Amino acid sequence: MKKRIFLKFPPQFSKLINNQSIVEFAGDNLLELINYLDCTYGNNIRERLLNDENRLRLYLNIFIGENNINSLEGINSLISDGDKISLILPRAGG
Amino acid sequence: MHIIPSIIWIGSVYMGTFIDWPVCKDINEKGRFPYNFIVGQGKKVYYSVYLGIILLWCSGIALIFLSPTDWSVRRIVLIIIKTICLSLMTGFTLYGTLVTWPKLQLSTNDEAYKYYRQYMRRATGTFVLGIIATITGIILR
Repeated sequence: MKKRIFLKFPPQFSKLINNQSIVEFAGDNLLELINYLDCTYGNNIRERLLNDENRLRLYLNIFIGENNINSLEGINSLISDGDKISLILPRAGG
Repeated sequence: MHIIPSIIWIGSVYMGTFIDWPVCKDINEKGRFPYNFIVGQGKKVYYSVYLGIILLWCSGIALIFLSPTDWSVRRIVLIIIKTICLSLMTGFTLYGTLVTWPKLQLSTNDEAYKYYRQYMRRATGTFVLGIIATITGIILR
């Protein structure tokens, strides 16, 4: 059964998935969602989010609802129908 | 209040541009952008640089009005040069934070090199302008 997921990404990243804020996909966890976005929209979505060890890049923060995935099961955190996924970038630069 | 933020800002830019990046390039696996180090460094430097910028502008404006009144043409020209330098430096820094760094954090390996090269050009500009502003400040004293 497909899940309806709400996405809240920074504008420069949102652009890479045609500014979609809602997607429907058939997977169970965040990694599967990233793979789905990568397959559907291309633009190296997977490379932009994950490191060589298949983990979320250091300093990036993804929230499922109010919960940081680091406090859940990381990239393998489960996603439920209606969840909101947010990507938060740290403030950086000088 | 004016000198310490200058040292922090220009020092951070110098360290990042002329020390950290060349070393990073040398020790990192060829072709792999040193993402963790560069983004970690950018994250660490953020608060000190912006605190420095705010302090520098506030103390600079205060110094203009608190120092003995000498509105000679020479002094006004020097103040204008210093203000232009600081404005450009602030603009480069804001552009980096608002445009370059968010792109860099979500870039592919190849894109990261491109964005960072552009960032380095602006950082070098910031450093040169910082030196000009410092010299102007010394003459103004």
